[in-house]
Parts: sequence; structure tokens; C-alpha cells
Amino acid sequence: MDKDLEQALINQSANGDAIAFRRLVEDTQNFALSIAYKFLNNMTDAEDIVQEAYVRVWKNLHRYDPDFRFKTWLGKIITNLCLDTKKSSYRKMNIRAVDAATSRRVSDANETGKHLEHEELKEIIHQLAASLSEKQRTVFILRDLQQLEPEEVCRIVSMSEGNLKSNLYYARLKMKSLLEQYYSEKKRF
Amino acid sequence: MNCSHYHNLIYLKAELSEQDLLSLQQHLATCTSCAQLDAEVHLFQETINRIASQEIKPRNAAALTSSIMEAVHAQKSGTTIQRQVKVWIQENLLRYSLAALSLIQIVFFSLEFQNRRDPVAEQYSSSSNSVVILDSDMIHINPAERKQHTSGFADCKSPLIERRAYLECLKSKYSSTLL
Ligand SMILES: [Zn+2]
Repeated sequence: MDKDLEQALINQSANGDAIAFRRLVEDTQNFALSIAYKFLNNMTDAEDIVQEAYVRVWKNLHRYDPDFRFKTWLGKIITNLCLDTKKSSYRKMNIRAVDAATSRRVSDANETGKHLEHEELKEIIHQLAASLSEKQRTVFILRDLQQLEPEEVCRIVSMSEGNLKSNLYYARLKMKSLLEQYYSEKKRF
Repeated sequence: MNCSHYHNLIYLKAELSEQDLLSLQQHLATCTSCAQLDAEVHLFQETINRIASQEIKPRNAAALTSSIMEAVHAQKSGTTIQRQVKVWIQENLLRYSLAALSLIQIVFFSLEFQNRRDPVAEQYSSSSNSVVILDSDMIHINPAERKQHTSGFADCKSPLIERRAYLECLKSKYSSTLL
């Protein structure tokens, strides 16, 4: 969406124009859902978070900083909500991730076809990402899985460029090692 | 620069400045172990990119938009009510606080007036009805009796007794002592 049109819609929405806000939602909801899904690895939870995020956006439109792109601001709200809701359940997921990955190896041994392979890989990466530290997981999801620009990630997580690179380095190092471990063990089955 | 420095750069290839990228490429051309790691990381990064490129879509986009707008509308009517209450309070705060102040003053002055012009007190303030106990009256009573009478008077001192009843009580006690 054009920056001027986006700003006009934000201004109209801030004045209570629900039709303008609906256009903003339609234009950005897939982006919001995509981030939420990558954090939560569950479509129902992701849709709930997206709904909550837009309510927050609506309530805080008068505080919107035009220096941010709308999507960056939305991404920040989504990320914070996902981290808040998952803070406690991530620890549980962390343990489950290893179990699930192990059981998958057996059950999926006979599965063929590119789609299933792709779905499995996606699932495994999301599960393995759960074992990263919160900062590493956040930058890995936003930069590598959502493919946002480094500057955008820095703004969303309020992190310096150096800090971002350091967290990205450790996240990729660990993810690569976990993925290699997963595939080498899968070959044995 | 040693290899560990380049290991770091290999993992951050997509975020490197042109200068760092050039320096890395020069090292990779001469170092087989770093070149090997670079190939592995490249493969890993390609796998991740493949997953990332897959678009995540809502199960039903229109339904998601509707549910978002419903939640926003619920919020909107909530905030409208809150806003209306706020405006009403702001507009009427001065009016109602003045009214409350006036009421407090009326109550205060009427209590004050009642204290000053108590008709019951006035009725008993004339000398014939007076219940003032003079020392001279008390002198005629012996100390044991005085104690009894005093405790008798003390019976009248309950704050729960109405003012008129209290005065009647005092009067009757006094009359009994004089008899
Ligand atoms: Zn080297």
C-alpha cells in the first residue's frame, strides 16, 4: 500500500472511521497472521492473537508514530503479544518439540511426496525454533522465517544492529546443528 | 584475521556490509575448511528460505476480517460509553460539586442553629424549671447518700437517652433527693 494512502487511512481510523480501518486490516492481516503463526505454530491461536492485536492497534491509533511503517508497528504488537502469551507455554513446548520430532521420524517414514516433505520440514523447523532463547527465537522468526529487513527487525524488537547480528548468529548456528542432528537421526530409521 | 572471525561472517552473509563480504570471499578462496562451512550454511539457509517463502494464509480471510472488525466494534462501543461518561463528568463536575457544597453548608448551619436555639433547653432555662444542682443543696446530703445520689444522677448520663428524656430524668432524680 502507498505510504500516503496508508497514512490517510490511519488518520481516518484514528477519527473513528471503521471503513478506513477495515481497509487497513484487509491489507495487513495476512502479514500479521504469518508472524503470529510462525511464533505459535497453531492457526487458531494465531488468529486469536491477530484479532487482539488489531483491537490494540485501534485503541492506540492516536499514539501511532508516522516514522514507523504501519506494518512495523503491527509487527511489534504481534511479536509482543506472541511472546507474552507463549512465555509460559514455550517451556512446555520446548520439551514437547523433541518428543514430537522423534515420534514423527517413525510415523512419517513411509510418507513421500514434496508437499508432505515440505510440511514436515516446516513443522520441524517451528518445533526446533522453540528450543532457542527468546531473543534468538524472535530474531530468527522475524528475519529468517518472515524475511523482514534487518532494520525492521531492529525496530520491532528494539535492538541494536550489533545485538541483532549476534542473536542471529547464535540462532542460525543452533538451528543448523539441530536440523542436521534431526536428519542424521532420521536416516537411521 | 583467523578462521573463527570468518565463521561468524559466514552465518551473517545476508547482513554483511560490502566490505565484509569482499573480505569473506577473499578468505573463502584460500581456506578449504571455511569454504566447506560456507557450503553447509548456504544449504541450511536455502532450506529455511524455502520454508519462509511459503505464504501463510488465514483459513478464511473474509471471516478473519469480520471477526477482527467485530472485536473492534465491541471495543469501539465500549470506548464510546466510557468517553460519554468522561464528558458527562467533566461537564457536570462543577455543577454537582457546587450543589454538594451548598448541601453541606445547609446541613452545617442547621445543626449549628439547633445547638444555639434548642427549644427544650430554653424551656428548662427559666429559673423555676432549672435543674441546676446547687452546692448548698448537696451539702445537706451525707456523703454515703451523696454517693448514692451521684450514681443515681449518673444513670441519666447515657448518651443514648434523648435530650428531653435526659432532662426529665435529672429533674426526677433531683426532686427525689429533695424529698
Ligand atoms: Zn578459514
